[in-house]
Amino acid sequence: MAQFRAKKLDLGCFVNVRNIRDHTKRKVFAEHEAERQALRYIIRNTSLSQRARAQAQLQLTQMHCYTRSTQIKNRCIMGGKGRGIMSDFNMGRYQFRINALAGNIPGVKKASW
Amino acid sequence: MSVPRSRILDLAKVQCRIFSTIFNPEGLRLGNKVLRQRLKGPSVAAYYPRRVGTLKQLQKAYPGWETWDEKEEDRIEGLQVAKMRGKGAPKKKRTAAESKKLGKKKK
Amino acid sequence: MVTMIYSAPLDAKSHLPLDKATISSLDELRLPRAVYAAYLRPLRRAPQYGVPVCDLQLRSYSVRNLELFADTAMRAAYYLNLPAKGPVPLPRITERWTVPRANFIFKKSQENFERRTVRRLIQIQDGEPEVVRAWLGFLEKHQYHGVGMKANVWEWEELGCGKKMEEEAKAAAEETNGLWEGFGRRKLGPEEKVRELLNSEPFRRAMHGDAPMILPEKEGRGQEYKTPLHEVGRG
Repeated sequence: MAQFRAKKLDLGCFVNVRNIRDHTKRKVFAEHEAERQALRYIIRNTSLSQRARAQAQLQLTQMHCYTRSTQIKNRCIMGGKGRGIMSDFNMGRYQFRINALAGNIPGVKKASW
Repeated sequence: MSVPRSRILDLAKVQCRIFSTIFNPEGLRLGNKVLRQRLKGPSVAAYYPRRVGTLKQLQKAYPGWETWDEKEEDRIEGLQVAKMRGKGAPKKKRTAAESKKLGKKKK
Repeated sequence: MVTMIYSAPLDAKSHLPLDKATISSLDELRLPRAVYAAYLRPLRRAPQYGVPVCDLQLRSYSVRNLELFADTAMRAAYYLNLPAKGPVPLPRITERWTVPRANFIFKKSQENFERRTVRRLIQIQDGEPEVVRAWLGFLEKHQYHGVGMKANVWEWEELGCGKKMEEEAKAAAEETNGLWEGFGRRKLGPEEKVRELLNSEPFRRAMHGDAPMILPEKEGRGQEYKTPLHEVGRG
């Protein structure tokens, strides 16, 4: 959503609409995480009054979808791909292979055993 | 030898105070596990590498020093050329009347 | 024995070999002890009590860099009068990944990649905390490329340290006095947020218009929020 997006591009990797969007989502999530956790706590706390808990449920559902952690998806930092990402390197499998063969990833070599 | 329940509860209370945990002898669902969770935000937000080491950041870090930004200089030069040819950006209209006048003239 | 390198004299007769007497007298000269030690294995001090004070783990992808830096660390420890054990080679970590060679389909043809992390452990025994910190600081300042460091430090207090700590905490609290209020990564944690939310207008209304809940003050030095919230909620 445009209201969350950084006014100036602050990405140093491969830039793509989807990458920018995902980056924005991550930042929004980090910003609102405390609030979400607080609401989740109130909802789960059986010692609070039922109405207060219902109120918390309402507030949680009314929060923007960008504040949800499930909206976040790991994307390739070299090519923006959304599938087959290796979480150790934040890269797609093919980009990983290219970079590993080029020696750009420290310590990673072709293996044979 | 049996120990009275109240004494054990006292002990548990003191234990909770010392180790900063929640005293909950009845085992109620208080949702405290939510508060105990680590905040994932900072690590999640650090997934993509940020844009660092740009010339503008350098200029900001060392305001007294001279830096040469090729692209920026080119842009400014182009703007000057356009202005000299009379193709520069129009002057900003401050009031509604000013902008209206111009429109009528054109007609 | 150390091989000596003679600097050739600059005069015209430089091609002439040195006479035997000169060579033998030059051979008799020995290097300063500290320089000579650099050619030998690192010296180490014997611990008196054997109480572990600091565990330094070095990690790297290349053995050469790691060995060199571990050697440096041992020498530094010797000259700081720290009894050091090690460098103990810890089991190396091997991570392997298998990816298809092609960017699209053709799963039958794949390629393996691996990353081997070699580790060394250096343990400092019976060291003064200050000296250990100086040692760690020295190593950090002269970090070697491609070598990561991780240190576990244990400090030992004398008896009756509780009272001392309380005094120190009081002094520190007076000194800072709200100066560090906004310090730290976690600006508004879930605990504070819960309080804020429960005191907000919709929640107050939801609690049948009860008076705003009075929350207990934070106790002294405990920075984390510890009061059981469920009791607060009932109020």
